[in-house]
Amino acid sequence: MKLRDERGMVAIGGALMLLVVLPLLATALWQYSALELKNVQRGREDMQALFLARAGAEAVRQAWQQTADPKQRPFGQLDTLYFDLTTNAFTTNKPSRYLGTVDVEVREEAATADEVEKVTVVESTANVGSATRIVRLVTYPHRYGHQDPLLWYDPNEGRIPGTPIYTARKEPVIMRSSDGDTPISLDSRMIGHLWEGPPSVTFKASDIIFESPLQVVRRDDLYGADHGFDLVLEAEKIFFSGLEIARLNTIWDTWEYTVTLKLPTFDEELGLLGSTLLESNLVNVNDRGKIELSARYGQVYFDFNGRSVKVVPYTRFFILLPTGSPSSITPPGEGESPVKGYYFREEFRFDPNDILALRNGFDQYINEKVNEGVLIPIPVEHMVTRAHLERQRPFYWAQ
Amino acid sequence: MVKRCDSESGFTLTEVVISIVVITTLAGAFAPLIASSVRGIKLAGVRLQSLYSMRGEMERRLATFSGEKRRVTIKGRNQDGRADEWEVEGLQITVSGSGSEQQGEELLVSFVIPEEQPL
Repeated sequence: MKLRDERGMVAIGGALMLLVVLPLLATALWQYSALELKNVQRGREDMQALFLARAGAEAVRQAWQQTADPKQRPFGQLDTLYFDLTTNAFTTNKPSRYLGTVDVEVREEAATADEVEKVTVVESTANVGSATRIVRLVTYPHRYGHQDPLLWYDPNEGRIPGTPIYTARKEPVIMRSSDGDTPISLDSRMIGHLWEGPPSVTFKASDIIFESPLQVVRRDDLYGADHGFDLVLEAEKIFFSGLEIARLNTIWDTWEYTVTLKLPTFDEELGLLGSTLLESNLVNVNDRGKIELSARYGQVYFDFNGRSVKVVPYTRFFILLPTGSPSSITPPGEGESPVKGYYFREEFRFDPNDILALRNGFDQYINEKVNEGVLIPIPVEHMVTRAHLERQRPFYWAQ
Repeated sequence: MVKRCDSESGFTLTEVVISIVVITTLAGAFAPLIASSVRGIKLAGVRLQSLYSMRGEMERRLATFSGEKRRVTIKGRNQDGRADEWEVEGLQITVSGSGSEQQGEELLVSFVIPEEQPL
């Protein structure tokens, strides 16, 4: 009998086959298991890296935004941040046990092909284990009024040249002179050439944020003044950090150098309807009756942090003299919000003559306008802070 | 025509014993590996589920600004090229995973600046 004829040899053959197949199956299963664990490990590191990268970008964005002077803002490659597992905190000193590292770079990139507009990019790279994640925060073209193509004023002198209308896109515009303290004022040539220049200049944007004081006219320029002037601010939200308007009495006439607040129209009319103010409870109970339902309201804020809102009277008879004291809005008291905010009804003009004619000056003027419903105090909880205005469209995520 | 098997006597005892020995040896050798692989697959599933829960929790806390108030110091150079440092205050959000952890910390960490919603 030949061995291959034994039926039992089939069983032995099968068992020997198992000798090959079972290790293969077991190895495959082990490989799969190891791969799954590795994948989860990678996923965990990847997720940790993503949130660490976001943390780094967010922290640097805040540092960038809270630094008012652009020259002092973080720029270039910053020091590596570590998340220390011992202290459970971020640190720039390399700890012995850390979750991962975050490297953040701030740089400028061209926003348009002609490289006129630039955006600030905050790029944060986090490394955890073998995973790397990069997130980017990009500023919207965040414009200052002096930047090309707006050129609303000269940043060094703070002077506004004579173009009648300056229009931005529907976006906030920040008005700030180079050193921050030099006021923004009309150019002296405009004050002294009635026949050559327009009697008003208009700035139009979605929001106008004055980081430097607005002094409509400077005293020295009034020697040659031969007409009054209105600076028209067309914006939904206007933020003043110091405002000075003026009245000039001369032998021939009385001229005013003031500000008119208007609501802009871009693709839609901006501002809040009176009915919206009521329905959304955006005004104090006492002021509800003063709201005109169909009227549109903008918002104007006065930041009294060390800066005043006043009207200055001058008289010029051959020489220029101040007439009496300036009339100022009383700043908020201690413990109160340093910012006063009002809804203004479409096309509101500060009238220096009216203000100076009142015994209690600017405060009484504001009270009268509040009683007329032209200005409505904004409750503190509904105020938009300067930081809000700056943050309306400051950065967007690009992950 | 169906060909009949010319042997119908079945397996001999020797054959059966050899087969059983081979199979038992194999099973004995690979059982721990198979068991550990199955455990690994189960563990991977649990950890994946935990990871997604942590992610969900982290996103929720980031959206609701619920974290611990912390200061972070950033060092580097400013736009003028000078060495400088900035301190920012924000919320540190830490989400820990549940279960035992053998490969590093089961921890998600982020930092967010709380912002009130403008009108």
